[in-house]
Formats: sequence, C-alpha cells, structure tokens
Amino acid sequence: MTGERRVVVSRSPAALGRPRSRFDCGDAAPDVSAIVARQLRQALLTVGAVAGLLVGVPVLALWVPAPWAWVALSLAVQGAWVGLAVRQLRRAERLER
Amino acid sequence: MTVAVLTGIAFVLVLGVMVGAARPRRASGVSDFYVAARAVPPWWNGAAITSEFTSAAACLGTAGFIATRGSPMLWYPMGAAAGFVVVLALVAAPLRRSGTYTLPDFAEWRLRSAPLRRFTTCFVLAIGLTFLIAQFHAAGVVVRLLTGLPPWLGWAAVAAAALAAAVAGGQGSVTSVQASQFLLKVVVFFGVGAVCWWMAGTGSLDRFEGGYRSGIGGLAGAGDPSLPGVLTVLLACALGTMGLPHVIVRVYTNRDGGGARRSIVATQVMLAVFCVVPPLYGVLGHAHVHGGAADEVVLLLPARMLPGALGEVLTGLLAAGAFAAFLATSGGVLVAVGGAVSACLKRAGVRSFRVAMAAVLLVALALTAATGPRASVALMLLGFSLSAATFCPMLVLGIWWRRLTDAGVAAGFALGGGVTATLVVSEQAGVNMGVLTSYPAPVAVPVAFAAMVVISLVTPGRIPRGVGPMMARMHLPEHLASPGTYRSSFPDDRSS
Repeated sequence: MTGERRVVVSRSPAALGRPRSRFDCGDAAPDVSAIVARQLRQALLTVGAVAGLLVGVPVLALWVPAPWAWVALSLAVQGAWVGLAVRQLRRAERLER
Repeated sequence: MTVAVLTGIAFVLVLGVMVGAARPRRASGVSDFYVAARAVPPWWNGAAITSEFTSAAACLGTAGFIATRGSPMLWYPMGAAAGFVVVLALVAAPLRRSGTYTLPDFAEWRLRSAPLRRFTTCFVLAIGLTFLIAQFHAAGVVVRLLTGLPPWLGWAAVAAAALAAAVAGGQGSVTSVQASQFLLKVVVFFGVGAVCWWMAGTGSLDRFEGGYRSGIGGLAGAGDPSLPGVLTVLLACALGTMGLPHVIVRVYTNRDGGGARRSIVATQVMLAVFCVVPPLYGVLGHAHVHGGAADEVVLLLPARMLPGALGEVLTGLLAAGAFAAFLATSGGVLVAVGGAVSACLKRAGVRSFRVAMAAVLLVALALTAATGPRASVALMLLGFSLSAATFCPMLVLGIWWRRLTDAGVAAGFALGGGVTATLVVSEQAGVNMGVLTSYPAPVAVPVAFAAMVVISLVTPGRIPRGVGPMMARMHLPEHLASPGTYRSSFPDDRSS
C-alpha cells in the first residue's frame, strides 16, 4: 500500500461487500440508459400481451356464444393476469440483479 | 330485515373505526402519517390495495350490470384487473424509487414546476370526488332499499366512519382497516354466494345468454353492451388504474421498488380471487331478480331466493360486506386526496391534512346531495376515463422518456381532461356528436399522449435540469444506486 500513489476520490466508492452486477463494471457508474432500455423492452412485452388478451378475448367470444364459455373465459383471463404479473416480476428482478 | 341490515352495517362501521384507532401511533411526522411509516409487508399492502379497489362498483355495480345488461358486462372485471399488470410493468417500481408521495408530488419533482403540481391536484380532486360520490350514492341505495330510511343516513354514516378512521392515524390506520375489510368482504360475498348458488343449482346459467347487442351506455360508455362499448371500458380501466390517487399512493407504503412490485403481484392474486364474485351474483341475479336497478340486484338476491329468516340474515351480511367496501374505498380516497390537497397549502402539516380531508368530504357530500342516484359503475368509470386521459400519459412518459416538459404535461392534461369532460357532458346533455360521444376513452387517451409528446418536442428548452439523475433514481435498483441518487424519502419536499 505504501508504494501506491494516493488518488483523490471524487465519487463515493461502492460499499464493500456488495455484489458487483453486470451494470457496474469497474468504477464506471451504471449505464442508466441501457437499464432503462432493457426494462422498457420487458415492460412493453408485458403490456403488449395485456393489450392482446384484452382485445382478443372479447372478440374471440363472438364465435363462442355459449354462456358458460363466456363465464369461463372471463375467469380464465384472471389466471392469465396473475401469470403475466408473476412473469413480469421475475424478469424485472432478473434485469436488476 | 331492517334489524339484520342495521346490525350488519353498525358492526362494520364500528369495527372500521376501532381497528383504525386501536393501531399504536407510530407516526412521527407528516410523511409517516400518510404513508404508514413504510412498514407494511407486501401481502398486507396487497390486501389493502385490493380492498380499496373492490369498491361499490366491484361488489354491487358490476354484478348488477351483468344481471341487467347481460353477458358483455362479464368483461368489466377483466379490464379492471388488467390495470394492475400495466401498473406493475410500467409504473410501480420507478414511482416508488422516485420517493415522491402523491401524483402531484411526482409531477412537481419530475418536471420541476410548482404550478404544475397545483394544476394536477385539481385532477386528483376531480377523480377522487367521482369515487367518493359513487360510494355515497351506493350507501344511500343500500339504506333506502333495505331499511326504508332516507338515503342521506347512509352517506353520513360512511363519511363519518371514513373520516374518523383516517383522522385517527392516516394511511397507517387506513391500511389495517382496509386489509381487515378485505377479509370480511371475501368471507361475506363468497359465503352468501355459495349458499345462493347451492340453493339455485346450475339452472341459472342456462337462462343466461352470450352475445353482444347494440345499446345505449351511460356515463363514459358504462353499460354499453356492444363490442366497441366494451372495448372502450376495458381501455379506460386498463390505463386508468395507474392514475387513481388512492391506489398509487399505496405504492409508497413499501420500503423499496422491489417491495412495491411484490405488493402489486399480491394485489393481482387477491383481485383474481375476488373477481369470481361479479359473475357469480350476476348470473344468479339475472335468473332470480327481476326489476331492480343495477346496484340493487345483489342486495335483493338472498331475500328473493330464500324468503324467511335465513334470507334476512344473508341480506344483513351482504349489507355489512357492501358497507365494508364503501368504507375501504372512501377512506383510501380521502387520505390520498386530502394529502394531495394539503400539500398545496402554505403550511403542510397534520392539521392542514385533517382540514383538507374534512373539506373534501363536505364537497363530496354536497355534490352527492346535488346529483341524483347513479349507477356506481358509471361514476367510477368516469374517474377511470379521466385518469386514463391525464395521469396515465404523464406517468408513462415521465418515467420512460427524458424529453418530457412541464408545458407538454399541462397541454396533455388540458386536452385529455377537456376532451373527456366535453364528450361526457355533451352525451349527458343529449348533444349528438356522432359515435365519439359514446366512447370517450379511445379518443381522449391518444389525444393526451399526442399533445404531451408534440408540445414537449417543440419546447425543448423546458426540459428540467437534472433529468439524468432523476432517471437514475427512478430506474436504478436500490443496491446499485449511489447514496446521492437514492434516498428512501426526502422530508424537505413537504415544506415547499
């Protein structure tokens, strides 16, 4: 340590012992635009799926006029929302790790 | 019948106030007072969000619409639940990380404009008032229909209980009131529904028919049984959820962005469970209740199917569940709108927060008295449409687009809100403006988005300084952000 040059720390260093992520390469600040772009792509995939189901299911129901089918479809979509939400949560958390 | 109903209502109101007041007061300042000191676990917060969201419209109105207007209304709960997937994907975590408490707070912080905060507060107030009026009218319907007493007793009971619970401890107490009300609602509506279904057998479903037909909708396209009418409502619900002040303020009761996401997922699961209720009562009501208004069908069902003591007890239980719904939603709206309004006043503090809540409540009561009883779904849908055309574009563009400016947001709010209001008012006044008047959301939402983008692009000089750090603070997870970027809260902001 004694032989090294002293460097002025201009930015508070990352706390010791924290896991280095792939956004945090070396001393560079995390690339915010890249993170935003990645998260936005994932979010738009999910919103696109929501929009598809939201328009698709009522239109699809035109061809299945049976009442029990309408009730079943409206309940099945609730399951689809839960699935989409869990998938979005997992993906978003993985992008942040 | 009257005794059972009044007992149920009194039980719920007393329970609500007691749970709210019994919580130990840990609030040490204004910020703690209305965000529950950020110590609410995700599943508990999820139950509170679901409770707030499953209001008069979800418990009584949607089922009544399914019974009176037929199968196209089955898609309404689907649209309402879809809103939370959109919130989760686009809004929840960045909004929590921004550290701002209310929607006007976010507008001021993101666009560095104090006038914009006051402008957006007007819209928070308008949306909040539609929700409060819907709850009061529904409470009046319950009281008048089941006991014969004048409806204003119902409004006053809900208003007083909501105010008492909110004054006792702000968002913290409202959280526990709401989460407990949600459990009560699930037990009551599923229990009574199961008894009725068991008595009716599966024959009810055979009398139901699937298919769209042309018809006339009410406010903001509510109850229109044609395919375009249904899609209009679904769009308003899916995009409007993110701008509901009482729903979005709950995001801040989590410790961090990850917690906010988890509570939205918890909400989604609980909402999926609760969304069995509208089709269940709707199908039963279609077969067994004839000649009731939309909000009355659910309440009339047990007595029509089971005349006698059992029917009376079940009706009393349903009235209790319905009042739990009114109390949960009006309490949440009151805290959120009161917080937003009091922050605009000169001296924000616990006192001004309470005064603001009382003032909002009085305005809501006056408007309830001035308007005739309306279907709760129609009133709430007006709030959803307004929110989808104003706060939705501001949040989505503010979170994901660097070049948004305050002039763009103001233009988008004025145009989106203005178009919605014009279409709804002209539809109500009987002015025919073609197909547009029946479907406000598909017109107003693109107009608001376009106005925000175009005006922001032509006013590049107004992009706020420091937009880079803002984006970093919203999007970097807490463990990556440097201490300067992320602050769990910033108390100084309240004093401005």
